[in-house]
Amino acid sequence: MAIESSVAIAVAIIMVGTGIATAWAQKVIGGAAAGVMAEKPELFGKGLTMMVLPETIIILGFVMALLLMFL
Amino acid sequence: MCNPKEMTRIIIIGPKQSLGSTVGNLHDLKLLHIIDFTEPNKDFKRGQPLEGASEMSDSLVKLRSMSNMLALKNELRKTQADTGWSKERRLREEILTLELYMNENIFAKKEIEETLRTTRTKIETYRSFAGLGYPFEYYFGYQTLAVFTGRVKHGLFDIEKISSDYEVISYESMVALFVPLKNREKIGQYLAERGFSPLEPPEKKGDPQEKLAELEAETMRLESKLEEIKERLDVLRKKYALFIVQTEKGLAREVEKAEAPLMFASTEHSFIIDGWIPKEYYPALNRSLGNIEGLYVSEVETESAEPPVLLDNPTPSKPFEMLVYEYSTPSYTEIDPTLVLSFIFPLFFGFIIGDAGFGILIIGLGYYIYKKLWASLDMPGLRELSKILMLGGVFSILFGLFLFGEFFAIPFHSAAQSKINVGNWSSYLGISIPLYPVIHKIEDLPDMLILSIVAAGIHLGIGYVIGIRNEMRHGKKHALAKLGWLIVLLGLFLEIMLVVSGTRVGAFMVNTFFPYITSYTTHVGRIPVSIISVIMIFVGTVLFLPAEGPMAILEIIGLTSNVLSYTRLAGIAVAKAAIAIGVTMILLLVLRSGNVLLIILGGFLIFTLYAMVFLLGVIAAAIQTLRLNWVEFFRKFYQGNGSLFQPFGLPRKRG
Repeated sequence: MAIESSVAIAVAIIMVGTGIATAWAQKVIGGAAAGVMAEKPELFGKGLTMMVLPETIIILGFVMALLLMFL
Repeated sequence: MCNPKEMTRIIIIGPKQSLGSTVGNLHDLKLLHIIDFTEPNKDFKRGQPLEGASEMSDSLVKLRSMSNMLALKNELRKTQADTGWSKERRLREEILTLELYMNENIFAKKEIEETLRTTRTKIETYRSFAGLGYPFEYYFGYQTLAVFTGRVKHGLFDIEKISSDYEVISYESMVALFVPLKNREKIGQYLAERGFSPLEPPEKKGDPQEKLAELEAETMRLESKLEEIKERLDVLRKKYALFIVQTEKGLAREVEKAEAPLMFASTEHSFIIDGWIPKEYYPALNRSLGNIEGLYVSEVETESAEPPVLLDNPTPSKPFEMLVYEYSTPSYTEIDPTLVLSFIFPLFFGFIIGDAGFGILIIGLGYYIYKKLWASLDMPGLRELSKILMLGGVFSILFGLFLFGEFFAIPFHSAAQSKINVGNWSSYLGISIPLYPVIHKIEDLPDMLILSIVAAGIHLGIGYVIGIRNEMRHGKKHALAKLGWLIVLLGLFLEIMLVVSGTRVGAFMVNTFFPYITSYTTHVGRIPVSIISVIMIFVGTVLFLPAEGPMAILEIIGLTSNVLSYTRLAGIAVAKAAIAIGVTMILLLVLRSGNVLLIILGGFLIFTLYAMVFLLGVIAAAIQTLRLNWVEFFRKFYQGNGSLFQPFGLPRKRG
């Protein structure tokens, strides 16, 4: 599949941006979740769920990248 | 097996005389979850502990502190059965005498250690002054001089700046500085700036050297005394370790039994025990209590209280119960996901690793942990983890042999046009292995991704079906909502399949399962949109709107994201495979070079690299499959927040 250079650069920018955003968000939430779990271990499920919520950002970025590359 | 064990509430009423034997039998039975009696009123009070409870408790505390001081933690862990322990020995006296003897030694030890510490500091001081070489009188009694004694970090190089009128004696970092009185302030400030820490002479008279010798002799004496005491404690430890540990365990059990009545309700002459027991064990309970005089045992009907949860699964699935408990104890009324988890987890794990050679290594690792490691480490759940690992390894071998055709990153047969050249086993071994890979991890990356999405569709579909079953007990509205979500999921899945129908797996899925899709499509820009999907999403939304409100429409994006997050299965699989292939290429280069020295050195490096890839792969695969199950799968149906079944007689589990 031949990709134009502009598309390649666009995909790269997408992944970098969403990657940083997701990492930052999950870092903050993860730190807080770890603190909560130290005090109340039964909140592990909720904490874990909260922590992975920002995953949506990078997944949608991935979808965008694929769409750009293949369509 | 899809539900926790059925519990029945029972009540035991008996006269106070039978309390001891009842408690003893219940403790041995290890099947009754006792409900704490928490509302004393004018008719029922809290029970009193059995006779001797406070004395036993006291002895237990003493034993625990002794085992602490003698550092018996390892022995404590290893000693499982307390066969040597018997009630008839005069325990109390033995424990008290032992405690006295031990405390004597422990206190003496602490005292000597403290004295040693101060003596050693003193020695430091005296040594510094001895190094300066003058008796203590030299530092006092001047009328025109100010004396500074202490330690400097660096030398007093630029003291000339203040005045050239000074006399300094130094020894290592210790200095004694003599300056005219009038310069005292300035010199003092100068010294403070240079990091001077003052050290006063400890005495007014005398020769530091003599005192130093005395102190050193004293230190030697103290040290030898300390050795003596340590030896005595060592002897104590060898002689009494077993006694302390076994008695501690035995007493702990007795104290638990003796304090059990605090959980019961009692009147002046009788006691009442309220508890839960799995229905199938009720006859055993009756039999065990049958011989005790005056007891009344009966099942009680309650509708309001929720029973504690004890999961009930066939043995192969049992290790996965730990993963379910870890997320949250299931609620009594919902379906137990352990069985599904025990299929899906090894499946996903095997898909990610997908290499027969690594699979064998994983089984080996799991077996090693199972046999050796779990006894020496104190981690709970390690045994279950090892079993899960072994199961995962089996599936890795299956995937490695039949789907990917790989053994230690070298395929059985190479792909048709491959930019990667690691050869294949068929040409190395000279025989043509009858197993052909269906998918090449790196060549067929789009297929891997789509396969992950198919897995997502199936997995989340199962999740919603379980959700429907769970909600049906509560009310039709929420069950309908879950059904709606299931339909939305199907719609999204069909749409994704349509979009990717150009690829091999996509075409396979569409042609085999949904051939009608392609006939009803429109195009939005260049993206094919299936009308059937749109209808399904619409219908599903209508179904879940009443229960979850209009804001839930945004959740469709969340669901899409959940489905797509399964592409991590392909992602990790391909990434690990790529690294492994890279290492294999280096290995082949090294081997082909023919240089023996290079082979030996390279061998170590390659081995380390493989070990790293292996470990990282296993950890990543395990964590990601666990996360997919916990976050995406469980969230579709799990209620959780049940209470754990803690039978009387077994150690309390956290949770």
